[in-house]
Amino acid sequence: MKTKPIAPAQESCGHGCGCHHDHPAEAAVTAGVAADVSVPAHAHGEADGDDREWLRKFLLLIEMLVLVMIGGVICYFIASGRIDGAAPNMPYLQGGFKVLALVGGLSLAVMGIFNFLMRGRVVGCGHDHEHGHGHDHAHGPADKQGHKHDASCCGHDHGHDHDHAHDHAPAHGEGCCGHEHGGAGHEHHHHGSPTGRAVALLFLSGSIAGAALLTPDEFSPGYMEQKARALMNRSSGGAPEGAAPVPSKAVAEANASGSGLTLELVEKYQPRNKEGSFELGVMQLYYSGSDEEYARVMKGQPVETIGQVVKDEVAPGAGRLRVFVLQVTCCAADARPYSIPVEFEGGLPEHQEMGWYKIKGTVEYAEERGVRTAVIRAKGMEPSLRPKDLRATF
Amino acid sequence: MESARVSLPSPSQQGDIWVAFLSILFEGIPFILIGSIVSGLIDAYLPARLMDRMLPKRGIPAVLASGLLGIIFPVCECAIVPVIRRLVQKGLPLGCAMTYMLAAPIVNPIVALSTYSAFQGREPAMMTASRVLLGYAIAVVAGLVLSRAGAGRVLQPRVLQGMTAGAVDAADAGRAPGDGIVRAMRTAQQDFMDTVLYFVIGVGIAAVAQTQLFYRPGLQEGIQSLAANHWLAAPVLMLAAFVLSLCSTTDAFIIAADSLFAATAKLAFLVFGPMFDMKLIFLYSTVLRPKAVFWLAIGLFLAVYLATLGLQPILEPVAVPK
Repeated sequence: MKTKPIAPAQESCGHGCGCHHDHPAEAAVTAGVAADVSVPAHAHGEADGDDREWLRKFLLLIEMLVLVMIGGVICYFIASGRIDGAAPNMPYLQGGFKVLALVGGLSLAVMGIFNFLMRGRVVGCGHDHEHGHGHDHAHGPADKQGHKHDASCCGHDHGHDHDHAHDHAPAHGEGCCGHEHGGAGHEHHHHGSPTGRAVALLFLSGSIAGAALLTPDEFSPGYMEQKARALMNRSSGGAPEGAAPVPSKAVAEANASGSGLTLELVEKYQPRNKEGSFELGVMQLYYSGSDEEYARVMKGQPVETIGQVVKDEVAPGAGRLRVFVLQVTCCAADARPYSIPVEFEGGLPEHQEMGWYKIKGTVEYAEERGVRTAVIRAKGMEPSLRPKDLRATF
Repeated sequence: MESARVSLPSPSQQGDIWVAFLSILFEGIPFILIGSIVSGLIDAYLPARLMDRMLPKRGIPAVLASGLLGIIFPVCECAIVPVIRRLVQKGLPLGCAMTYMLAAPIVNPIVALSTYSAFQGREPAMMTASRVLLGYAIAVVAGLVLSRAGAGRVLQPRVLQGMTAGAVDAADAGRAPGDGIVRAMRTAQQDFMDTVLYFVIGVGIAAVAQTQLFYRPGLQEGIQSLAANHWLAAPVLMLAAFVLSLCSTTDAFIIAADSLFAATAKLAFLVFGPMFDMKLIFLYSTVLRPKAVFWLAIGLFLAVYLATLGLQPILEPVAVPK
């Protein structure tokens, strides 16, 4: 590129950012999207007789608006708390991903606003900087003629398919006029006709806004059940962060004293409730089996937990249920069920599959699929409201 | 919840699609934005031809080096695509670009770290090393094959157009202060809009597949019965990776603890997923011709399958659950 002296002003390189014209008129062309279909040689910027220019400008504004909208939807879900979902323990996004999404949403909105405010600013398009290029040219979109620049290197970077064309017949000399109009709002990178862009914008904003309006913020019981059954206890081993069963302070103290973990230490950091039971989350109980020392201390202790119950298909047996919760690692789509078996002596009490229950009993440990697993010897269970957020009781 | 929030539609089978759709969207959009902003900054500030000057046009060493770029610029698969599109237009040779694109979501410290911690207690070092090395090797081979095929057959016409124009030295020409950032943000907006459109389509399809199809009892029984199958376990998990369209920074957490599938099948999941899945079909098609996307899928699938099959003797005794 390093520019070939490009043609006489007006025609410059034809499409595009041809650029040199200092006509005052061009300076006026701001929002970037001037298209001059009608005039082959681009009478840049002057909107004369071009009814598509307003369309391009308009689409560019809409595009900025869509950016702000997407950012706004993300920020709204986070600010309103809806990001945490309507069902317990089933957020759209977990932990750090919320922060990332918030930053992303804000940045999107900022970017849209920034580009809106700067829409009139003319930026060097990379060649011929002596001239102030004051216009934008977007090539006439719709006519279906290819360009006619001869040389191999027409040098602009309109990222669009060239089926719409700039009609710069006159233009280019042999070489590269070499500009890449990224600037001045010529939306050349936008492929496709204005119609195509409009459809794309409509689809994009429609699907995101539609999803935001139509989402119930939680999965249907049917899907949760399918997923719970499909993946039940397909996870084994180490607890995810936050679900570690043993209070870390108790471990630290046990290590410091060298006496090992004791019931007193556990009680100190994980107080019993009024009835003398430890209130533990299903996740906590689930992972308690993986810690040998903790399992030894907890064996036989009274516990209470809240979760959904299903028939035990992992290790079927009379008087057995499984109590589970779903756990999201990053986003709701990856929720997986974690469950422990519950044994009732003398048969199952009345219950509803997939219902939420508070289960009381003592915790024992048994081998299941070759892994030490907590089992609740249940003394009773009662229907429970879904805890608003089981994470708090991990 | 039941109290007086916004009144929400009640949960339904259709609603499942929206929940899954939004959750993947919320997770992915920040990364696409990062990719687009980086692309905009490259457009505005990286002198074109710089890469030409720095990299040999077709050298195998250049491709080998590109596979490691993820160590310096760690990005996941959503963020890399707009960056690659821009870099190709700025003159990064095709082989290097494709290798970087395929390797970066795997060969990068964030992903290595998350893999390591997800596999804690299950030979994490072995798993992480296998993932990174296999991802690297396959990316390099794919890059070399694609570069042999030639840019004309591989790249989208509009990317090619940009490439011939890539000679543009937007970055080093004299400019008014502030021009760079304005230009960068404009390009970022364009790239974001281009990329996010395809991302939304891919995520939409993934959301439908996951919520309406994938966990159907019949299908899941089939999947589980194949878990123990020496030959089919890996393809089954690769298919799962394809449908789930997870982010490479987090996929290890989803699969690591699975007790049905063997280590090599998980490795196949972890290498194939970041290189090819439902959302990536659409993201890749912003850079590659449909044919190239198709053959890339076939090639990657076979490469990952055969490689993990070959690694079975080494990995299997290691991490099989009892």
